[in-house]
Amino acid sequence: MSSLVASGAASFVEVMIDNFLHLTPDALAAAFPGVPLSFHVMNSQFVRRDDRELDILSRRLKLFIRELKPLYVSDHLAVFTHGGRRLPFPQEIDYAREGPLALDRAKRWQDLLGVPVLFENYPSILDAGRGQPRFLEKLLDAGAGLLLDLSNAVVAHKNDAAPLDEWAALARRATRFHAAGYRPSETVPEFLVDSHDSELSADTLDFLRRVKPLAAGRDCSLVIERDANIDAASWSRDLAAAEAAFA
Amino acid sequence: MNAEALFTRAAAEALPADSKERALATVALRRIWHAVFDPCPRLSRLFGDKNREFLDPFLEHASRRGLSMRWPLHAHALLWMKEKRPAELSAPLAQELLAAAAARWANEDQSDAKGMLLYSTDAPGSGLAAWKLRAADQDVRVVLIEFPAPSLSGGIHCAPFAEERYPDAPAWRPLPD
Repeated sequence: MSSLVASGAASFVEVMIDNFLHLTPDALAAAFPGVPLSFHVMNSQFVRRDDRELDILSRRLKLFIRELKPLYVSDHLAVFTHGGRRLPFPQEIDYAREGPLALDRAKRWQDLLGVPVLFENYPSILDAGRGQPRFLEKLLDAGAGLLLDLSNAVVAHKNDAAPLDEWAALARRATRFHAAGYRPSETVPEFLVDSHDSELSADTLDFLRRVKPLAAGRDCSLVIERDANIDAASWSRDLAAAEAAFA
Repeated sequence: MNAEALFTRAAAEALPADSKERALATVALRRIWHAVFDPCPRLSRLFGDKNREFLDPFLEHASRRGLSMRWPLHAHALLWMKEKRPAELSAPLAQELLAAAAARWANEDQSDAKGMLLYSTDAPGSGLAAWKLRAADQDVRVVLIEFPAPSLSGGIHCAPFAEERYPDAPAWRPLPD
């Protein structure tokens, strides 16, 4: 990762900030000298977490935000627990049933942190995902932000949830974007899962090219996520391909 | 969908066979499979192709008990094996299960604690110490340590600590669900 920044292929680093909250901000900054950072919150569980725990977490996060001044702070629009039990992986919000609660909780979480929070769209599998673009528009109208994950939108489309065309209005309102590799599920290959372990698909790169004019004229950024099979050469190819499609 | 189907095979198989919800539950159970077996090669070797004979009843137990499915999960698997499959539970396997729980704690705990001791009264005189990463470019650590057997009720106990070094008098608490 350091080599990607040093070579100029990447201009900032997005940190999964939950992993570092027990450190001091200085200790985190020391690992990225002179490199701008953004914060990606992985595990706030803001929708169903109790207020006391969320308040404690927000205080730690605010310290890092105040000291390190990230380019932006983002979080995940998903539910992480059911009946207090940790789900095997985050599940999409049932927008019809739990949307109003999620909207309130997102606003509350943003208020607690005291900075705009950009909420990332979910790589839908179930039909409930068809309601996601409309829900995100409500979220934006309510004053929250959007981190538009372009490959998650492709995954949702290919999983027969929200069609790709329904993201255009949201793309016009977003300035921060993500993209990553995805793959067929190990057990149910007809479903795609957001895996962050491979290079961007041709469909994702096509979507980047479609979104590019919708983002024109705004100061935008794009993060290429890679959590597994981390290989600098492969990641560099992704960065170059994404820049050619989107910059 | 019935979220219980994301935790046990019986609930998953109650969903219509060709539904997206059934497929999602299958994906979820595979995630649990990886979460249980990937950090435990000894456990994986022990059950081999018959790993569902271990996993499915344990997950049923976990659902009945309402286990959180968070970091203590492997420690609860140890307790469950002790009760239900004692002949297969060796000391090295018990240590592997505790180490998996300790490592998961170090990776997912969001408190200010820097580390945690994990101790089973079945292995007096030693326990595991886990530390969260000490710098952004380091990894978590889990180490077997020796200490005088504390006077505790039978079972598994944990003791988070806030300093770099584990305390001489740990504040033991029962294993959470």
